[in-house]
Amino acid sequence: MSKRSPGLRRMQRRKTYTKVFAVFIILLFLFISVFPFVWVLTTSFKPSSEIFGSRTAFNMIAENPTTEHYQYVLGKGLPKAIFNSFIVSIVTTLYVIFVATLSAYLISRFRFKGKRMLLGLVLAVSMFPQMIIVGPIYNMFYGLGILNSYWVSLAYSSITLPTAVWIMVAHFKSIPISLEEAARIDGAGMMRTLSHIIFPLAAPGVFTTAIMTFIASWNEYLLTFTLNTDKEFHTVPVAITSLRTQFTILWGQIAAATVIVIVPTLIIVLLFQKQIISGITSGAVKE
Amino acid sequence: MAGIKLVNVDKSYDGKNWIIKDLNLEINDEEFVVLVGPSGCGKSTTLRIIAGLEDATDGDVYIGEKRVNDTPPKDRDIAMVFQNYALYPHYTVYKNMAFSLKLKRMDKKEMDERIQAASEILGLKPYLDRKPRALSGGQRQRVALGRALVRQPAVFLLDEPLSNLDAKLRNQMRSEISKLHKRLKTTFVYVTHDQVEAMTMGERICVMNEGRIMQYDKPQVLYDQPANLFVAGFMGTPQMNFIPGVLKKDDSGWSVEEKGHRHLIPEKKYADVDLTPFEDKNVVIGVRPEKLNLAEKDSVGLAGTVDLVELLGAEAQLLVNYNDTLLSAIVPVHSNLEIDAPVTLAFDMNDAHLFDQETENAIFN
Repeated sequence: MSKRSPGLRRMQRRKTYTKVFAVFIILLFLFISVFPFVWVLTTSFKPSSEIFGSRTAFNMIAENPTTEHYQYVLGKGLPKAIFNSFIVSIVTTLYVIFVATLSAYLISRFRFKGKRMLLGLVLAVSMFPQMIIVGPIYNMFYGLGILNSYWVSLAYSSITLPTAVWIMVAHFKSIPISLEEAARIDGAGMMRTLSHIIFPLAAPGVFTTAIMTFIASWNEYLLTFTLNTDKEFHTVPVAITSLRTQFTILWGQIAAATVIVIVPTLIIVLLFQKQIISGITSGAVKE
Repeated sequence: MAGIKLVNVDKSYDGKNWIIKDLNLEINDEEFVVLVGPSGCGKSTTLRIIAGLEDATDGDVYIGEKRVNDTPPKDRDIAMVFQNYALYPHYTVYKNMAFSLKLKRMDKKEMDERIQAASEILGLKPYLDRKPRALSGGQRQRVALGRALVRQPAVFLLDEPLSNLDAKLRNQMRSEISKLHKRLKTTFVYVTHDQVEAMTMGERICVMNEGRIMQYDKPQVLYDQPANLFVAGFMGTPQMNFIPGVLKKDDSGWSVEEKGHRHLIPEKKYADVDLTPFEDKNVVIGVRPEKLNLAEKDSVGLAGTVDLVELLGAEAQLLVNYNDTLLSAIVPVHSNLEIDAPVTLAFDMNDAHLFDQETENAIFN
């Protein structure tokens, strides 16, 4: 080791302390956020007796692992709920992408009066707590006679659309306007320019928006719970809460069902995390 | 094949600030016209009005015989090359060029022939399958030209097409575009802020400032006979020198008096102009740096001190502080002048231009 001045050594020691502290904080945070998932996963394989027993309840690994909870939930209504979840999430995603693309394009490209206000309003709407709008939406759905149906997608989109519009506006703005002018001179109309030039270039943004909308819809609970009281139209998050009897909560089944719900989200996020991050941030700085 | 005519064209976004005011411009068929001026002078807006990307607030735009104010860009028989190329990044070079032809529903064979011909001219054959991001700046510029070329338009509009290229490539593309014009024999309208580009490429140059045309003529005419102070100062590097003075008349004839000096005006300079309206008025003498020479020792001239010497290679540019006016002169390299050294400059009034200070218009050239 070469000789170093005491000041330098002190600075390096302090650097090490800071690092250790930072790692500790990160590990703590990771533990807090990941532990519940791990616990749900282990619980889902424990027989009911082990979930509650004073000796076995705190075991990380089940002594007699079982898939009975999975068999139970898959046999009892959950497949239908999964199907509903897919239908509702996919319909919501397609609808939101369609509307958000058109409106974001308009907002990013045209000058019109009240544009700033419109954007502000969109942002404000996205900040409303769901609890506040759930009442009016219920009344509206009741009046239209579309309670207990897949129309719940419409309600979902009212919650996911604002964010989608904002992300897409940022993306459209990052596409140089001269590309559109070139297309105009080349003879493309507005819809063709949008579909052939703008949309493919905004694809990363569209993709991000789609995934985020899908995840938000997949996890949505309150609206389906309120609007679709009929079991036939329950989505997975709502179906899980019905896993109880008058006096007990079926923790094993709930854990199994939860694992099943998480899987699609987890796969999507793991596969596309890079795109999701770049999609959210792109357009933020000039490249 | 078509000429272009703009008649009393105005442009404003808010009805208060006029980007273009009462513009009249006629471009002949097959002519290469350069619109030049400082940024914000309205040259790009003029081009975009011709292209149809902007509407004229007032006035008429003609391409050929047809008034095109209400014709969409695609039906104006024009092609445009943008400053940032505006290539479709997700298409290959071939598809970039094919896009407009496909929209015209041209049959595949003719389309391919046109694209092959254009890429032959521009040397793009090896790159047809590449996407724009795999090309260099110069190649992208060629693709942008090619995309315009395949349409075989009546008018080419080019908006500062070379400003994103480095100096060497710019010179090369400059001559290629000029050659292209000679070969195609179509109307070219070219926008640039670079007066060297304008001088070298334009058959006629339209100098613009603050939304108005300052002068519209052949390059040599702009240089030799600038219509006003703006054109005189804008065309030519280094800039023309301006020496303010007062126009006087006495027994020996007309002269300009400035700070003790009297510059006698040779008679042939005002053979065609009546100088009487300008008597005793403030005027500006204009002298090109190459006409301003080092005077013989002890001779009469503009005495000042050297402010800066810039070597240009074959010669040197001398900046001289003369009564708080900076004059630039092109002198031989071996003059060996040092900063702050006294120096005397002289010029021949036969080479000078004279401008009215109030209207800034030329009195004689």
